[in-house]
Amino acid sequence: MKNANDKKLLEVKDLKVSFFTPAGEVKAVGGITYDLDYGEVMGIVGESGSGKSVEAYSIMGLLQSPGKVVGGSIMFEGENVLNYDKNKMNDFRGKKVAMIFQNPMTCLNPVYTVGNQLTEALRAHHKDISAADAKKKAMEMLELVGINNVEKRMTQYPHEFSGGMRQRVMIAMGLICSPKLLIADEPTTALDVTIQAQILELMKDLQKKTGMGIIFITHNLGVVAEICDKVSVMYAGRIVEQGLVSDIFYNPSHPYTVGLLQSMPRVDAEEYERLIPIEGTPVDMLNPPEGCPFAPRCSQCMQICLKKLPPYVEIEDGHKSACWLRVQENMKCKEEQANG
Amino acid sequence: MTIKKAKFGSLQPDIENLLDLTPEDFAPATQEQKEGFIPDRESTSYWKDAWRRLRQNKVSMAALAVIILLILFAFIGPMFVPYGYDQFNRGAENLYPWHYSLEDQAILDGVLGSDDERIEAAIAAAEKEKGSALTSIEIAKIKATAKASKLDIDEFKKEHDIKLKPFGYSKSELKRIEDGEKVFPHVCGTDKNGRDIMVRLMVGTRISMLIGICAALLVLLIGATYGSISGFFGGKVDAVMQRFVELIYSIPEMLVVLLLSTALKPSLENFQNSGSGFFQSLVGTLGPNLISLFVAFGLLYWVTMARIIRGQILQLKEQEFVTAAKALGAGSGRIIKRHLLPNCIGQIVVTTCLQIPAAIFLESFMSFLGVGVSSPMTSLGSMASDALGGVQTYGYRLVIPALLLSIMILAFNLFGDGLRDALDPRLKK
Amino acid sequence: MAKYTIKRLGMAFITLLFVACLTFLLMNSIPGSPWLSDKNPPQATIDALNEKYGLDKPVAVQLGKYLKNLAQGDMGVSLKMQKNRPVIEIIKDMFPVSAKIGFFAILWAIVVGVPLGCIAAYNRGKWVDSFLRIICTIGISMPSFVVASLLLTTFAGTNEALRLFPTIFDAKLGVNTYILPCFALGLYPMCYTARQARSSMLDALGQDYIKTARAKGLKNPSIIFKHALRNALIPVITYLGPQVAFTFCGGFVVEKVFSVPGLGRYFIQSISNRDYPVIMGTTVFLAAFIILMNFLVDVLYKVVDPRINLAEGGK
Repeated sequence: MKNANDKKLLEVKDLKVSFFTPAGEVKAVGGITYDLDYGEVMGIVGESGSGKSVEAYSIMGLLQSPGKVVGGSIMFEGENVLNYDKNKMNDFRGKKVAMIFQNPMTCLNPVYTVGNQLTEALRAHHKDISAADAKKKAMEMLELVGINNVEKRMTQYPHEFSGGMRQRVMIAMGLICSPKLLIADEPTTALDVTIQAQILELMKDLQKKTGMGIIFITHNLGVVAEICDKVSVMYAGRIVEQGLVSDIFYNPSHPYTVGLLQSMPRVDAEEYERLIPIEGTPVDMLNPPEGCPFAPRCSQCMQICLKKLPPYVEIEDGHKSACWLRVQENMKCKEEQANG
Repeated sequence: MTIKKAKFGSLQPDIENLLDLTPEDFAPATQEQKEGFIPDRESTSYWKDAWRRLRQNKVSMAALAVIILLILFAFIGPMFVPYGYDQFNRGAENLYPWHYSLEDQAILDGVLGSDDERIEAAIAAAEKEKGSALTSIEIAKIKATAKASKLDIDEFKKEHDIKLKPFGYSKSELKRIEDGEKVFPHVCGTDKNGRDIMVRLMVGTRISMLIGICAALLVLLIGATYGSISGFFGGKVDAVMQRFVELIYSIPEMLVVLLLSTALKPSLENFQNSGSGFFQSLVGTLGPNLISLFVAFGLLYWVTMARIIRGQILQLKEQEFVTAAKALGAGSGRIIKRHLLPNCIGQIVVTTCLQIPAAIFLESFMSFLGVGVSSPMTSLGSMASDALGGVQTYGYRLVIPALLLSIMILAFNLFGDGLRDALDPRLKK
Repeated sequence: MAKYTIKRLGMAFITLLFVACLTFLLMNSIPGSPWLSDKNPPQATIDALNEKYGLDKPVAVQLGKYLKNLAQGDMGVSLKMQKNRPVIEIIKDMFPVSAKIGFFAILWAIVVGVPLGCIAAYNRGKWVDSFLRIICTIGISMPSFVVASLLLTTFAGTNEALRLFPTIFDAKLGVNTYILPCFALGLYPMCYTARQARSSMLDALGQDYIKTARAKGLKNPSIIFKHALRNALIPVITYLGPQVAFTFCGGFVVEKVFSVPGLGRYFIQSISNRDYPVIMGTTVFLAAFIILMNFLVDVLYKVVDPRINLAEGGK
């Protein structure tokens, strides 16, 4: 599935996004780096306000004032998306990258039929397609996402669909131009649990069929385990740990990841096991402290954590973590090596 | 939990620089240190926060300043002016808001007088020549030629360095000033009965403001009660109450207000004359006109407020804290008063504030049509209406009250907008 | 739909009945009589006239009779102002003038107001937005009589060069004579519409479906005109419904200032003349007109917003 010239599908380097509010600059995303291969599925996990959606919006160029990208680069197939002008951006959105959102109830325009909104997405990028062809394609897509009675459904309005059905429509709309990357911003959060499973199943299916890359933004580690190849854990605008799903689940190396895992119910728990919540609240992003933002909530907090941001330590190939504990271990290890 | 100590070879390069870290750095941090780590942000209450936002809004602060100035003008102002709003100043009729000094006036009178004399002389000469009385056409012709040769007044004024001086004084008042007396000027001139326009403006502004504020409060009282009952009980009660609101909406309100205030006036007058109780004297002080305006306004304009409050209550009552209050056994009245209304206070304040200019609007409108405040009481609307007749000569009499009124409404509107932005940041557009 | 129509008609009937009764009672509580004038006719004449027009009977009986006649489409005859002329004919005469001015006033209010609001919303925070906001706030702060009288002083003042438009209404003068009254009457609704359009446009632009549209790669015009505008129009329509009715018949002041022979001016005169049938007729007619306008607004809602189900009578 790799491209001939060995470019990555998406490379984000040191991306920084700030919101310039009257009260001051809020560094919503403070320098994150990751890459995504063709056909790869990456999960971005974090609490609300950790900057995961903001990061996705900046890829799509959907940041609204007062939000602004203040540094870094977003390379899509070797081109920096941040340098795109308005027209190129419009062409890029929808055609190469599609996005689906958290709340399917409000994401479809209530005053237009579903068919209208579907074909509109297609015709925005294929000017010469005929109305009949566009309709045919839209109906195919609806069938693909598992909607029955397509002919009739095309002429209905969003309020005549249930939440799960609307999310299916959203997915169909996103995929109608066969994008290479799909950004899903908490696509299952607003849905019932049973519907969640169906939508996840559908996305997995479609990913296999189309071979697109997916960035899956969620706060639910369970969903990540289900669908993703690799995971980035975000906290306060930074990636604190990054690795393959197996790394994160079986070998978490950042106390925040550990906390997340402990606060999640597991079916494979050996015996009665308490869920352990993460104490405390996230930091004030308007006024971030020096040092590690997780420090005040961390049970293993050290002096240095309150003074300096931890650097990334590569634990295994492709498994990085930003925690002073890992630095400490690393130093000890080096000392031992030096001492023979 | 165990951490695999596998490959540690590939540290990031900047780690090398950090290797001078001392072991102390890796000592565990105490709980106090952790707590002191995040700087506490000052917690702000809803009102404090709103007030901060309002203060930052320069436009609405300016509007507030204008409102305060207008209040001072309307309520304190008349104390400093020695004229009554209904006092006829004899000899000071039809003054402009400017005057000429006595000498200048004399010079001007001389010129203008000589003009008339010249015409008369010309007519007399012509009569003598003709030997009989002149026809009116001939007189008109002579007048026209005399006028054509008339001195250019502006030129003349420039020549003699005659300048307009601000404020209006009558001739007798100017004489009294010369005699060393202090005379308060007619800042905005006087009307055809010699009443000082500035005092009338002050009183008119006061009336407008009183009506605006009282009517808004009345609307608030009726609308909030009606809306919260309708929204809270829902179901059949709501359906019936909303039908009634629709009914009020379909009334041609302007016509009914006109009728209502005309119809109420005589009965209020009767009531006023019926005795000397508290209410009678209240009616006497406010004047039957004003009261009938209040009533008309209150009876018809509460529907918007009721709709807004109902909408808010409908939304709020589904929320958990109301269920919790119910579960604790709180009665309906208590829930409405303690839980629902305080939560839509922002909306209530904003709607009330924006109701004030609407009421002022209506009052001026009615007074302009001659059914609102009537003589000798005055209001900005009736002053503008009175001035309409002599608009070509005495334009200032129309323009000044009209502008004052517009500025007042503008200030209230801008302040209301600012208040809305401050109290409900979600609505900030 | 049939149920909805019946419900609407029933409500309309109750409203008209209510308005008629209210007006009748209010009207009769104004002291005075249509027969009093400078001539001061003898009591016998007044009694005879009262008997002839049924004014000697109790108010309730009069009301009953009036309602009965009204149901048959008879609004009675004028007692004083155009003596013995049927009120319906008078309204037929007067209303078109008011309606014409009202129509053009509302037309320019919408045609200018909505785009201005959209422009302001789209340029939110820029100088264009601030400028339009100030203009519109000033516009809604000037009562129509202020606007009308200022126009009057400007265009009928001493300056000959400014006498561009006739300031005294005369239907024979054609379009020119409508310009000033329509401008004065339409300024307030125009500014209000612009403000409303701006805020509902901003509201619409902040909705999730706009995010979806942008994510689809749609261009700005398509986002604004297709996705945002239609949703933004809904609150604008809510406001415009009553405003249309009000403007059509509420030009009292403008009619007074520009001497327009319209219904509003006539209504005020009829109150001071105690011409009861004219007062009744005008009020009932305008109430019916407002009801009609509200109905049209509901239908318009349905056209713009498919979620609204008229049969259920709500959102």
